[in-house]
Amino acid sequence: MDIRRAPPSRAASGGVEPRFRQVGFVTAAEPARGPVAPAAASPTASDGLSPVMIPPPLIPVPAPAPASESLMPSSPPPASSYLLEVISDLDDYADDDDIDVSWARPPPPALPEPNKRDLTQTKNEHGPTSVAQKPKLSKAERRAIQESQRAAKAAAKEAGLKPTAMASDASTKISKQPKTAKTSLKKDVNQVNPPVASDKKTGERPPDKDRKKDIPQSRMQFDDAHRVVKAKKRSVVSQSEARNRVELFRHLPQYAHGTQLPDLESKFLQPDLMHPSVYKVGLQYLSGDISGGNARCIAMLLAFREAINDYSMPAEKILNRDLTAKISSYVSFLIECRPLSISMGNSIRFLKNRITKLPLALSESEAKVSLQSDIDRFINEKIIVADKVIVSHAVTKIRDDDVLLTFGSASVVEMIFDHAHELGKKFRVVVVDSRPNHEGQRLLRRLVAKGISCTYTHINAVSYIMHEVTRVFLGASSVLSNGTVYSRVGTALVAMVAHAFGVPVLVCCEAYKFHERVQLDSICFNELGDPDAISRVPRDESLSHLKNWAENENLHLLNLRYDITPSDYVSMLITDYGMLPPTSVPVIVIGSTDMDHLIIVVGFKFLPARIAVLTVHRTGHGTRAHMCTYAKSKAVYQQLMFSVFYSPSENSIFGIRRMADW
Amino acid sequence: MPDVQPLVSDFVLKLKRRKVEGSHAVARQTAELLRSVVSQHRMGSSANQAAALADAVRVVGEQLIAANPIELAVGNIVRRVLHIIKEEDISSTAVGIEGLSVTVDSDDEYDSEHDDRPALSAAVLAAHARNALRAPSLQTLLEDIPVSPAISRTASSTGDSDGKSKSAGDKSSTRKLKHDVITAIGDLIDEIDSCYEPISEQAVELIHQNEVILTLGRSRTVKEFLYAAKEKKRSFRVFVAEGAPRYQGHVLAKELVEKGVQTTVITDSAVFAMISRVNMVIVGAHAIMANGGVIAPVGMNMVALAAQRHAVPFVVVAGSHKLCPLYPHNPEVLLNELKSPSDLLDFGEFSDCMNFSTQDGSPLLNVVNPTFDYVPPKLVSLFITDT
Repeated sequence: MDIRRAPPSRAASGGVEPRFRQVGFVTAAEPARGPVAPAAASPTASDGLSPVMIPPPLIPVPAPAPASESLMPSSPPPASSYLLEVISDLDDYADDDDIDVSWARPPPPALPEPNKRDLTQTKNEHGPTSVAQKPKLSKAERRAIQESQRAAKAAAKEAGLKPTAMASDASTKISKQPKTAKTSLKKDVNQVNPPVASDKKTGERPPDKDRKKDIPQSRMQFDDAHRVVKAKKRSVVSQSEARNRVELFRHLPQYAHGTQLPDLESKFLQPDLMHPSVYKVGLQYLSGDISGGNARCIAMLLAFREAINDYSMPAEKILNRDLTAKISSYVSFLIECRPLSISMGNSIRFLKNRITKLPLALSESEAKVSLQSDIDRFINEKIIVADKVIVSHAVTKIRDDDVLLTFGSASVVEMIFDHAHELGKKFRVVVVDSRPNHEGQRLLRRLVAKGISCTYTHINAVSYIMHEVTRVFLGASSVLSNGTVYSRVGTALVAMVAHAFGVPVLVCCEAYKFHERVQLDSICFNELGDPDAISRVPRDESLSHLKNWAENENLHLLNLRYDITPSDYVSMLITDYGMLPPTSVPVIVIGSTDMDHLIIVVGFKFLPARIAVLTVHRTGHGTRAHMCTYAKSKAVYQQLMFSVFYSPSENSIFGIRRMADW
Repeated sequence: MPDVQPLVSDFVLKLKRRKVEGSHAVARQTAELLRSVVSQHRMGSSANQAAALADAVRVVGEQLIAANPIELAVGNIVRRVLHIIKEEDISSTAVGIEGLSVTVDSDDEYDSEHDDRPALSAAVLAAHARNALRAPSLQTLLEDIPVSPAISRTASSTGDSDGKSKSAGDKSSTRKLKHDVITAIGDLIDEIDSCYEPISEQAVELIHQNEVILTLGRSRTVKEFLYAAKEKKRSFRVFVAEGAPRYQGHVLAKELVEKGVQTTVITDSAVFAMISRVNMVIVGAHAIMANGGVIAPVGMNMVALAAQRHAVPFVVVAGSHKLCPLYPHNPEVLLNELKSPSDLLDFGEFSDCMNFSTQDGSPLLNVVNPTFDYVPPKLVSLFITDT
């Protein structure tokens, strides 16, 4: 699908301009958004030390012609001029930014599109032509048009034009469409700068303010009193801050547990606040009825689907914009209920992106239908089918007489065990559990009911039990671009002990949860649970010594929800794109255009992600591809060569090995 | 002997039923029991009273050790008492020798020809006695302990020479030996009780202003150690991992807060997340083995691994009654104890699952609830003991 994008850029910018810069681990490219984000993210065409990834410009893939090395990226992305603009807007700093953004991710994965060849053709006629065609475009065509517009813009920027000039330029070309495209583009910019991301609390954003929002916004820091007050004014949920906060975690929100629920329940019947389905999901998050990355994400998407179904566009408003604002307000409500997971952030981006890209020509009902089917497809392809693929991969790693250890209760891992059991494999499961949630007990119950032999223990005993374990299967909330696994708290300990005992650790994670951010420790971003949960001791009243803990100001209880697992503890990452080693190269295939060309984004452990075009040579065993990419180190371009083991039948990469430095 | 038998069997029963747990309590009670064993011991008129006394102690000690093999403190205390008997015997002999150096010299030949032991010159004996009179250092303890069979031999041979050189059945010297041993055991008990003081004296050297300490579970030694630092006006923060499923960390947190120490309770699973901000890990131990490995409350190994990963010093504080001269073999299994599953799972909730069984009769659901962890020596940065 990337093929589609390339040609226009070339046309627009005179052939050299990188039209899109895709970052990080993106499952599938969303043509529209991908390109932009990284530009802001990389203040660096010039300086090689930036931690951010600037993939070298993607060169258009030659048509299915025989592959050759001519595919290499040619020039560094022109990010710097863009950055300047961004910085010049620094003073306007409002915190109603886009939400999901605290986990702003690379473009939401796009859904595979069938007719790529057509696209390449349509692309050639972009700009003006598109105006004429607008009324009845196929999806692919629409996208092509947007691509071309974007390309035009990028070109303009390249040339050093001011954004306004560019905008006007664009608008002369094509009625209104460019503007929407542009706003989305700017948002992306806000969201991508890596250590940053952006504010969580969002509200509606007045259209004219949009333009000034170019500064990369930092994630909401809850120890910033000023912004917290501002955010509070907008919030639907009234909540009081918990007592005895831990100093180290002042930057994260923590509210007294249980204070919000009654208040929210009483508001349930007020009609104008929220769509009821969204409201319901929010309450379920709050009460903990829905937990787990996939479950929360699906629940949210279904609620949005329903909300979109019931949506009616107010007069004199533009659907794209109004609906985006609506969704943003829903999202900020959900955040108040519980901070978003990365997977939710990613899917919100996907949805918003879809909304912004709706052609104006679509009628309201058509647009709604299209969005709903997009949501359905997202759920199906990125979550349900992805899980199935992961299961099918992971099951091959289970042999008879294995002892498999898992921690907590990850839905994918459970599916893997179920499937392996159905296949008749004889294995034993060790369920390691931790306080205060005891998720493992629920998993244990389900596994035992299916007749799988289980051993249950708590996390402290993990070194005791690890002697007999042959594989560790873990779930993840997200995988960050340095290969770090962000997951439920305790995962790092389990992985560490397994590593110390030489037991392979397999992390199962759907690719839509991948995120390009880098996090060095578990403190800078995390989620705080209810501290009272720690003071409650199960079963034995005589053991609870901390009942009135909040009365003493020297005593704090800390209930962390997540931690990060360094990539060197992880032996293998199982994703819907195959099984990958996280340490050296977390690799995700953006899309495979045909059998001969792969476009993949590679993130090295310490280097930025790159885009590279692969030429695939078929060999006896599956297909072997050589991939060349530029990695920038200390301002010197260094070419790295990889051997990529790619299986066309499964459309997945099953191994990547760095060959040698050139 | 009959007088102490009920006491011994009572204590054996307590150990077996795990009514007495924890190194400190066990060590103290063992020492007290042995003191009464010694005091009840009827000194025969035979030449080698010391050997007879040592045998009596050893018999009781073996029963106690068998009652709860993982309470290594029992064995440690029995060895210490045997050591005391030997020391007292040697010192009394040495006193005798000084008076009768000529006799001893003349005895030498006799000794060396009928005994496999190397000849004891008066000088050697005196050196040995001096050694014995010094407070037992860690080194001498560890060096001497494996020699326990030799103790009896030393005792018997010196007893022989004693007997030869003096008139047989010198009641006063026997009574003196017994009395000395009892006083020494009393000192040992005092030492066990007060082992926290010399340890916590070192707190100020290790804990500085604004440090962040992490500990797991509760150990009285750790508590005293932190108290001592607090009393020296050091302000520091403590993360306490709660130590599920016994939640001793909650108790420690409560105690620390009472002294005004800034305390944060975290779940055990959050240890890895927090350890990057910790300056030092200070933990207690159940026993310290001869190779430097530590038998510690469950969960300690993962804390030690996490500390190593982040280059955080891992400090073990333990009284000398926890120093054990044994070498661990497969300590995770052999020096461990599995507790009731009810700590982890509600029987009510899972009782039906527990009944499930596969064709071969093994249950479908196992619950593992070990008490101890073994921390290999390479993960420990520092031991702090009272000697």
